Amino acid sequence: MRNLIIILILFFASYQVRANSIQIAVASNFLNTLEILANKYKENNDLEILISNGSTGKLYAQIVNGAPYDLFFSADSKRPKLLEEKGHGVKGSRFTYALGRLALWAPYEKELKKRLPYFTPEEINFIAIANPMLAPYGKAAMETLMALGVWDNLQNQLVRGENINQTLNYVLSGNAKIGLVAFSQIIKIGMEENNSYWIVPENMHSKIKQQAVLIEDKVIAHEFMAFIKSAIGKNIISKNGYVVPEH
Amino acid sequence: MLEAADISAIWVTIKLAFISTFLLLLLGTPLAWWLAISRSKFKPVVNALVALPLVLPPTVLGFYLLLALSPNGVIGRVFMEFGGTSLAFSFSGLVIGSVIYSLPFVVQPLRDAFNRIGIGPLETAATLGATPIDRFLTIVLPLSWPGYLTASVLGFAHTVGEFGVVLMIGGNIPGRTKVLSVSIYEQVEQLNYDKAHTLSGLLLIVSFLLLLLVYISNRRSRVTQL
Repeated sequence: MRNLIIILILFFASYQVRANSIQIAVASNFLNTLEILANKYKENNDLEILISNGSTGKLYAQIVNGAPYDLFFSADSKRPKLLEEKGHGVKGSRFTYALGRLALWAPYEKELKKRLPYFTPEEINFIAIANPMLAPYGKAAMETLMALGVWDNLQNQLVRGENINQTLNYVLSGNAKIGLVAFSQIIKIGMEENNSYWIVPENMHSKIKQQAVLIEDKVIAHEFMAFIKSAIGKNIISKNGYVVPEH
Repeated sequence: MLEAADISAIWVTIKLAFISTFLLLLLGTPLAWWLAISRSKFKPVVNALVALPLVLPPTVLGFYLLLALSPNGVIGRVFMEFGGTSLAFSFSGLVIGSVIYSLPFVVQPLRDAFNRIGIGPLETAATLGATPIDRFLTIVLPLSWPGYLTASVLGFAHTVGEFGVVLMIGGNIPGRTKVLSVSIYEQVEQLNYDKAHTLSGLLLIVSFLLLLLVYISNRRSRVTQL
């Protein structure tokens, strides 16, 4: 019995997180860019960066319930603000790391893609958007379709992805002929050469302010945050399909 | 407490569960019967296939279905050939998903019920001149009703509890593919914990009562058998 206990203790001890490691929670749309940022950062810093991705709402609920993250990259500004107000986030650490860009995308429609953003409800089967109630990209998509004057006519053809990645899958798998996705996703899957998208002008929807907040007041987390705000960090973010706001 | 949107989600859920269970009983009966009496060397293979949805994550099923149902996919193309519209994001698509997802919950209880009857009574009936349909209606059905009850309730309850597959192939269309589990998820994500509590509580109670029904009836049937 005693041997068993010792084995168990050794087993768990080996699982202790390294001292120089940070855990980051990131909204799915920014995962790929954050991984690029993390790899760049690790070139000059001996640091383990553990990244968990999920929807903003789910990660928020995890953090409120004590999930061990040091940093949170949200897809909106509402959740980081709430975390700061409720005392889960470090006061004053919140900042906008990126502004999301929306793209109307019809990858397989040869005729349609030349005419974007103009299309009629008759020539499409479904239009995929992120759920406006759950995802900032969904709300922006709704506003865009309203600004284009087609929202009412498309009501029966709207399909809503739980998050922006699922929305991309609906279009990529060929189930929906057209969709409003994040421009960063089109870059990620390497389909920006295909010229099958139309980038929605920023004045057509309210800003998709993606904010980050520090959860744990750790020096190494502060340092990584500073890297995100540096010129190198900003450059990586804008190359991956986002607009970097002026501070 | 419940709004029109919730009632519509409940209605879609119940309709989906009823239709899927009905189809599963229809398709599951011959399949379970074959699994009970067959001596084929392929039986273990079929048994394993039937049990697959028990162990596969719903995301695997949802992923394959999303590809298969699409206009370029295997199932989607056949469906379009016969004049159907797109299967993904449709109620019919959800029914296909649910039938696959809940298959073991219907086939396994039926197979076990048929196994308990054995071939003996049927052979006796056959020598007395009963046709196969006679034998099924007068021997198999009366003797295996507890199996049918278990299969129906489990199939129904499991379809009501379906989430991952629906989330992936449903497209969350109110009144068509938005089921209760998805709308609970949506409420939690929006931090509407009160509404999430109401709907979750409802689902919890209904699921418990359904399972209770199975266990009470199983006990009764065992007592009468003794």
